[in-house]
Amino acid sequence: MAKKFIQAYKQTPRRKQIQKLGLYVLPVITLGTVFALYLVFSAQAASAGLEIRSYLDKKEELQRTVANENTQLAWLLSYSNMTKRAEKLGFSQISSLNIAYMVLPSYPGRTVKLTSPVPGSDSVGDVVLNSAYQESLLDFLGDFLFTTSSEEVEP
Amino acid sequence: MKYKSGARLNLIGAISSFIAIMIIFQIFRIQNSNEYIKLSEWADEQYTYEKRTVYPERGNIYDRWGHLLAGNEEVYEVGVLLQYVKNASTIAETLSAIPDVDAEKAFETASLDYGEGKNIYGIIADFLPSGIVNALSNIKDEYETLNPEGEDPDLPSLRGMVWYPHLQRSYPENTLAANVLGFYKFRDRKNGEGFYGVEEYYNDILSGPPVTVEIPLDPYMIEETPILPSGASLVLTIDREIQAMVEEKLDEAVEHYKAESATVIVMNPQNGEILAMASQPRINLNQYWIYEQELEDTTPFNRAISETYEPGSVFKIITMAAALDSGEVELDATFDVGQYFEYFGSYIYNWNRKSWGEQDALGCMQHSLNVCLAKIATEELKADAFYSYLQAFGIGRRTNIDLGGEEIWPLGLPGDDGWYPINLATNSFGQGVAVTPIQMATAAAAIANDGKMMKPHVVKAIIDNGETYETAPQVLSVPISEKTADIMNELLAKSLEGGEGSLALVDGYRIAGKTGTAEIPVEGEYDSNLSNTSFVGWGPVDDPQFLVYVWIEKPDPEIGYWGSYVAAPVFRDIVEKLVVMLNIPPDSVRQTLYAVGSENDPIN
Repeated sequence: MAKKFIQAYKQTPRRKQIQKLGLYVLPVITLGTVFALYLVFSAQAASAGLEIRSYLDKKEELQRTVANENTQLAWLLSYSNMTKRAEKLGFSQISSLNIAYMVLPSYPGRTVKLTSPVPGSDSVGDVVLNSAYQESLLDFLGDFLFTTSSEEVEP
Repeated sequence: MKYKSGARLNLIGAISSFIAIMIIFQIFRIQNSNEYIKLSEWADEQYTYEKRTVYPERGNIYDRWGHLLAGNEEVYEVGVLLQYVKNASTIAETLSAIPDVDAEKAFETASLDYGEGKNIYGIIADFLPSGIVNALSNIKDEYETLNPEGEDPDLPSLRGMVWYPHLQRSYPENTLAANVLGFYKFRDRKNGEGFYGVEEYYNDILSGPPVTVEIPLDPYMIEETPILPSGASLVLTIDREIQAMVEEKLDEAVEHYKAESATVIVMNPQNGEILAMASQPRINLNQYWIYEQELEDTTPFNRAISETYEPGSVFKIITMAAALDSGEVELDATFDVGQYFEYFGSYIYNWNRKSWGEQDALGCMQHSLNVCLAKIATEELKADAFYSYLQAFGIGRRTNIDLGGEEIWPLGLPGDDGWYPINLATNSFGQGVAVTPIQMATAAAAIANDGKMMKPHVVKAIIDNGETYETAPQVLSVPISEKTADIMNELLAKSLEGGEGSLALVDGYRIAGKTGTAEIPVEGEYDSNLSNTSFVGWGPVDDPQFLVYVWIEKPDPEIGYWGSYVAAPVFRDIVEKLVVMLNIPPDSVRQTLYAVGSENDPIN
């Protein structure tokens, strides 16, 4: 009885229609899901790319700012400004006959240290975005299937 | 019913599948068609990458203690994105408040028709400081609040006005060391280059090569923008404080003697480092474009390396050094110095046109006697030896100092057109021969430096891509022996102590040196009212650490005509300050310190 009931249930035309419809819709849903995921990751990649671009612009801006600040500092410390400040503070130049000299054996004398500009890099043309973000599905599948299998056969 | 329903569903499924397959097939077909490939290539070319030429930051220039003499500061270019301009007259009126901006031209630029392939962007002003741009930004925001998106044409709007920052060459010391630095034509942003001085000589390494890069516009393909190394930075041998002091003394001297110009060189004879080099006129390098007005006619940018002149009696140190070194003249030899000396039908006179009787080498130098030196050159040394020594001292040859614009006057040799036998006599005391101040200072430095003539240079180190490269001193030649150099040092120190150049003496320091006064030819005749006065001296004599060359051109003869009265006091004033700046104690103190002394030389 139960067997007959199950058979009748499975052979219900409505049930069969739904099964067929499911078969047709399943690939559509699968494809839709894949495309949706693809879209999400693409959007993430684009957003990361644009963010990187803005950081690169910021870096250029900072380099300009550093150069500018160094020069502005030099304007403030220029000879004419420093002389005026020294005079204002009551300093005057001394004569050699009024100087007391002494030997300081360990004193190396006046030295200067300059901070050199940032060295350049050899990174011209390096892609900065993670390569996973730049692969198409075919690339990914190709890499996944063929690279993995070739790695496996390697001793 | 059952059959119909299943068949209909199958039919719909089959048709849908067929359509889907056809769509996919069509996608593949289009993507592999020639049209697609062409279109794709065109799109890649047009829109995938943006070509941008990146100009590296121009290298800085520092003095020997790290003071910035030439750097870069941020300025702005102001323009209009024509697509977004709503009110051209507001833009023109606002920008016309900026000096050098013409309202009419600004209006014309802002009113240009926008169109692809035609006008997109127009520049209205450039090299504006951040203060002005901040003010423009505030006004723009204010108008935007009053008239959002510029929709009301009757209300003001600065929509479309934009500004972009860039770097501009800047000289924080204005005129200081202008003759040495030269300038960079920063107003020509694409083809700017260095002119004169260090900016010209080292232009290539200061600027660094511009690089054209392709920047991907596709965010998936974003690449790292190349970090271009800045142009190399230079550390000069120039000492900012010494340079400023020398310029101040030089300007005072020109004013006091009502001279046409003056030139001073301070160098270290032991390694050829130029500590200061100054001449007139000097321009404010931040306004380099006025140099053509400031430097009239043939006025050189840097007289110290570009102007040749007859040096007069300072040249006698070369003649005497050559005579002693060759062995043709002994130190104790005497010469009959009459009122005049006749040579090939021409007459040579002493500076006072009087007879000086029997004189030895010291007397000849002490009293700067033309007759004596002419006799030494013509009767003892002779032409071949004399001119060989001149060439060894670099006369007629470039010193190859690392500054743009060095000039020379060719040395006339026996057999050359324009050379006459009398030249041998006149050349011996610095007439009929022309040198630049740097040539003369370099030659004199050989005597101060045990006979070794060092190559003069202004760059102490180059900082390139994070590495520092020191400049090694170079010996140009060894024109005289160390023994002759010692004799000459003593001779010139003694001659100064009791001779015409005594106004150059500095309390506490023993100095060697020589005065010079040369008449100036005007239309082929020497004008006895015009003189080039000079003085070259160095010290301390037992360990020369500085050499100062002073040349004052055409002082007012009523105020001063002779080098001993015009150039020698300027030398003294400079050296009095210089010894303090170089930390050189008076001789007695220094010798005591050495005696106390440590094996470590406290001075150096």
